[in-house]
Amino acid sequence: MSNRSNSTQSGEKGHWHKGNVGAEFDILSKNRYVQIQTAVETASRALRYQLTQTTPKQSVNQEKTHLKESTAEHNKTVASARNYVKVVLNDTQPKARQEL
Amino acid sequence: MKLFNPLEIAKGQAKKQLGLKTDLHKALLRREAQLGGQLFGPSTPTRRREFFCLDSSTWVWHEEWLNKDEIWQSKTTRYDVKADGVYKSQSNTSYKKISDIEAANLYRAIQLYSKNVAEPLYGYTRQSTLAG
Repeated sequence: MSNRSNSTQSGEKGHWHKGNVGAEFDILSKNRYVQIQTAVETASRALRYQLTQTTPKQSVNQEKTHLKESTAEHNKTVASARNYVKVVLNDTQPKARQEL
Repeated sequence: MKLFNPLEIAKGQAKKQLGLKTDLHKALLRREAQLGGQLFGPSTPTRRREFFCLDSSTWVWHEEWLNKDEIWQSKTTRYDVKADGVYKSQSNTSYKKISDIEAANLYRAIQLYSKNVAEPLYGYTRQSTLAG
């Protein structure tokens, strides 16, 4: 504990010794320490809550995006396969007709 | 003959005490802000940072830097703590919830503030605080 709180008041009314600054400093320091501890606890709780609340949502969103991308890729593959079949059919059909 | 009014004397003393408290409080905040800014690295001649706890639900980040044209620029970010998370407001921008990355960084900064700013400055009051 600091020795700054050795405050004294002189007999003269309204005059404060330097010791009073020390006492005032100790009171302010103590109050400030309590306020910071409260602020740290409150903020930590709120931030933990925010982080745990948004993380699952983000995972779901990431999964949705992945599914969308996969579906889009799959659709592209299907469309490409269909086009290929069409091209093949168009190419082979006339030849087949000619052969016939 | 001038008469001393006890009420005026008391008022004068109270005002003096209030002024002293305000000055001390400002001085403590300034010191905290300086130490808080150093949590993110040392200040340089072209960049200064300040970070401090304004009250039990508000944190402030202030940054000043010298731009290419050698003009000082500054940005102040105010973080408001709510039950569901932390919201921020910057000069001339809207009020919005911080991103997860910013939330994680702020969480770390606040833990460091408690350890490296509050403890060294006021840790000595802990015993008397716990004792009541």
